[in-house]
Amino acid sequence: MSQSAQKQPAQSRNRFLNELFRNFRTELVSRLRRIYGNGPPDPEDIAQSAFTQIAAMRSHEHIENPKAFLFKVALNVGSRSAGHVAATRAFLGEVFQTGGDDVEKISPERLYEGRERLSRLNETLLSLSERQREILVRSRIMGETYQEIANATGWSVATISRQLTAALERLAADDDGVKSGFRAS
Amino acid sequence: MRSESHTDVDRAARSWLLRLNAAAPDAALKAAFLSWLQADETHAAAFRRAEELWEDIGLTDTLAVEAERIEPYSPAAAASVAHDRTRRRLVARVAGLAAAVLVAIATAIWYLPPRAETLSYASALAETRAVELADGSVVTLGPDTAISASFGRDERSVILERGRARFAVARERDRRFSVATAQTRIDVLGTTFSVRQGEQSIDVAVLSGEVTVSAAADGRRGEHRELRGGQRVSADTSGALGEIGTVDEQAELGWLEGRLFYDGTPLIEVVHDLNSYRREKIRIVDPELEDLRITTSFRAEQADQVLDGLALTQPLRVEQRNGEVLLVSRHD
Repeated sequence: MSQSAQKQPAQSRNRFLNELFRNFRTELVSRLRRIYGNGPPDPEDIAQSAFTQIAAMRSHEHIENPKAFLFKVALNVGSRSAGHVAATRAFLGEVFQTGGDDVEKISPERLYEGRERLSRLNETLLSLSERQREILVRSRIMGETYQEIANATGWSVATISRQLTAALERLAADDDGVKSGFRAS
Repeated sequence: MRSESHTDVDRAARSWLLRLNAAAPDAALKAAFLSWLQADETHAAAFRRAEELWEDIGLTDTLAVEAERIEPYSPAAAASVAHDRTRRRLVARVAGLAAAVLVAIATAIWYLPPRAETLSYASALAETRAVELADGSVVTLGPDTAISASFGRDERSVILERGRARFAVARERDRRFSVATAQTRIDVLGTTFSVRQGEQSIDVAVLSGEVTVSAAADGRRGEHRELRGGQRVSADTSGALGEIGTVDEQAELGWLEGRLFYDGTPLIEVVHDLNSYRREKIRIVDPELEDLRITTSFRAEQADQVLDGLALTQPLRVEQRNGEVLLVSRHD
């Protein structure tokens, strides 16, 4: 990885990272604080891992909107930090003999190549009910367990499970048409 | 290619994915999942597809925007966690104080015969701790820091032998409080400020009150700066004092908690601080690297990640040799 990292002149990479850090760090931490509270995960730690991940990425060429990209990487880190998500990931890592591939799961290239699919998912998400979207956000982004979602919203665990299943089925059905080219594996 | 998304297998895979994400999976759920997974060779691929969909949903703008509008679960729980933390910190501090007092007593007995007035305090690698001095002033020692304090009738003087420390000085009108470093001397009445003895600089930051920083090197006596709360100044190795600047409060609060902030700081100072947290020392081999300007922030225990990051962003390579970590120039 560090070999291809050298393709881009070290200086311009460095300038990009420094500017990213300087311009958006404070804002990022306060946005993360709105989403995760004071943690855990600690918003400061999420922000730091996001910067470290971006620094480790092969190239920064396809980043069209650095601030939005940084935010997505940070959400990706944040949603994985919840205890139960980490436990599930550890279990699946053992089962599939993977692990450590997080960094390239989200990359500028991936977002760029997958933009059609992501925009289709976006459309479907907007057509879901508000309740379904909230449950999705809490589960996928905020890393809350069903029980935590139930405590926060007053909905029953059964309702949460049913709504989330319905939402995912809708997303899968609409996603069907635009699979081409995106799935690298 | 036939669309598989509507098949029962895909639907089952998505259902498993959600069940596994509902809470930390217990042994029964894990076993049930494994038996489903092994029941047919198409199941693994279907599960990976479900995972990818789940991943990608998390990369959409819609959810990113929505996330900020939703109140995270249970502020009450968060508050009680914060409360616990404060209590833990307090307990840690009290424990630290007790240990420091013990050391102080031991040192006092040891030195009893001569004049019994100088007490030494030191912190270990990666340790931050508070000690209370005889006058009620509280000194928070950064990692790998040593001070000695001698209090007389007219003066309270502390020597910062190495490292960094924050001083919350008890106000006493008739006894000045001073901190001496290799090249400077800091005089105060009652105030809160911190001093860091670095590789190429000595940094003084004042949080409240007023402080006088004077050059102590031969040939520079008389040179001094008056600092108020929120101001900082650095001295170089020759003892020359720089311009007065503004305190970076984030950085000043950060080091007490083990989080370090740098904004255009020379690499050699970053390495100096990192070394106060680790046994295996980092050494800059090529002098041209010493002055590289670094802007970053990290937790002290993440030193290895920081080094990886430096290797990616700076023209340098990290080598491990004979119990040392070496930073070597890399020419692309």
